[in-house]
Amino acid sequence: MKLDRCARLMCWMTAALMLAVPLFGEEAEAPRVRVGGFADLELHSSSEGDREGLDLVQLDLYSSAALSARWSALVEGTAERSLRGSNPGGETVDLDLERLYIAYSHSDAFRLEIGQTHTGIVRWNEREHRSRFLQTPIDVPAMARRPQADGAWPLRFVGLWVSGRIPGPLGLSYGSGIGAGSGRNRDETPIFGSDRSIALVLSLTMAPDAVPGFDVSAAAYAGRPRAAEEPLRERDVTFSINYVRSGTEVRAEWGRMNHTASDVVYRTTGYYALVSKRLSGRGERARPYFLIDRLRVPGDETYLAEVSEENAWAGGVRYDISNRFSIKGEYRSQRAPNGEREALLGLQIGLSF
Amino acid sequence: MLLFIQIADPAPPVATGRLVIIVSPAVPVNELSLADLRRIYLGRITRWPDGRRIVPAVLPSKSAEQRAFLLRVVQMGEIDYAQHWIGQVFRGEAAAPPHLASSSAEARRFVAEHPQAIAFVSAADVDETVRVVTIERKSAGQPGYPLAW
Repeated sequence: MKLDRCARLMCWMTAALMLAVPLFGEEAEAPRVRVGGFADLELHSSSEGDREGLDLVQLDLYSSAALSARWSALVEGTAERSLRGSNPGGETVDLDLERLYIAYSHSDAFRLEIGQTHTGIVRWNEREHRSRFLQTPIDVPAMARRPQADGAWPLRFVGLWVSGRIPGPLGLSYGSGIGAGSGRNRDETPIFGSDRSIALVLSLTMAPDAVPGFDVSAAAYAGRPRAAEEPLRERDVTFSINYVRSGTEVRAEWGRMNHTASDVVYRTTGYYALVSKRLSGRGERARPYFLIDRLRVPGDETYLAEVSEENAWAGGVRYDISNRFSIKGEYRSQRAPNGEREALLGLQIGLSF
Repeated sequence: MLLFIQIADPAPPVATGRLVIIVSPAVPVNELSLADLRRIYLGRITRWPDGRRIVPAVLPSKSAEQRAFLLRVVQMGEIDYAQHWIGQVFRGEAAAPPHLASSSAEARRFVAEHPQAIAFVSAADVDETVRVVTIERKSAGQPGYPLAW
């Protein structure tokens, strides 16, 4: 359970706010409190024999509250039992507070979130957040993995986040945040401790009217995480394109992360490309897909010592039994730590409630 | 003989129709672009110019109007559209998914009773309790109206 003192305090504050919803009177226009979630489980069989049977069970719960016409709050927590990650020899159970914020939405051009939220530096993460039900393939691309799952990019921070849409035919939208970034470990975002650090995020997206379903996005992140020996100077950039229209889905993203320590620069690079197409007619519940997934990490960077490289491709089919219940079957070929190619067969059952 | 009958069988009539977009008379909007209508129904435009939250209404997935609207405006299938809104609410970008009206008549009543609502109905289902907005500056009877087929 990784809830520090500050996170617990914010949990209590949000719970108090949600309980106080009726005090806001008649301003609320939407259902006052909404609770939902996702559950999924994965089964795998690998050619190396290191992943057999049930190896991931995940529960993702969230609650949002419309406090008034302009104020809202959201809390999201995850519970995950995994046989993967940094402890491959044993089982891990993680409980995490994923998001917790209060939002003020003045208009579509200005929305302010205060609390713990996602940085948006990786578009996949920003669009899909945590739920695997909402994504087409079984696995999250390596560059969008959570830090707790040995991911490299800083996906969460605690602070202020401003976003909005700029009216016009270019469909511009922006997001910008300032707050506490990663600490000594990537999966910590300390606010009060000596290892706290300031992080800045800026993103810009264009979704032109002329091409419905298409958007292109760029994001930058600057931070100074307090690594073990000395603070690192972190500068990250990502670029992504998405096209989602009439059953066709194309998502691609490239990212570069630079960590500078004294005179050494560690460069981490990642990218993914996903193509999927929902079939038509009687096959409309099926969506075949193909994913390429790469992540290259400098071997001598201690701050990302737990991050493993990825060189994989996957092909599979997502089948939606209903709008809230899906099954995915996938064949994945990936390079194992010993350099050999490893084949994985995966099955994921996911539902939304 | 069977082949002959199949060839000679006339093609099924092409379905025609015309959707109109209705809002409450209290909504300060007279016209919308197709792109903005799509954004409203995807939850990317969430507020009217006066700041009130937009509440879109949809029809049952089996209805011809719903299928035509998803195909021509949102450009998504029913499953993808439903899952898109699960994501919108989960991400905190929308307070709730669109209101599901059981019929065009119920959608019209919903719009008439809710000053922030918007809906699409067949042109024949409009009455004086709601206001029709133009799409791409064209009204439903004009040539080139984008929601006629």
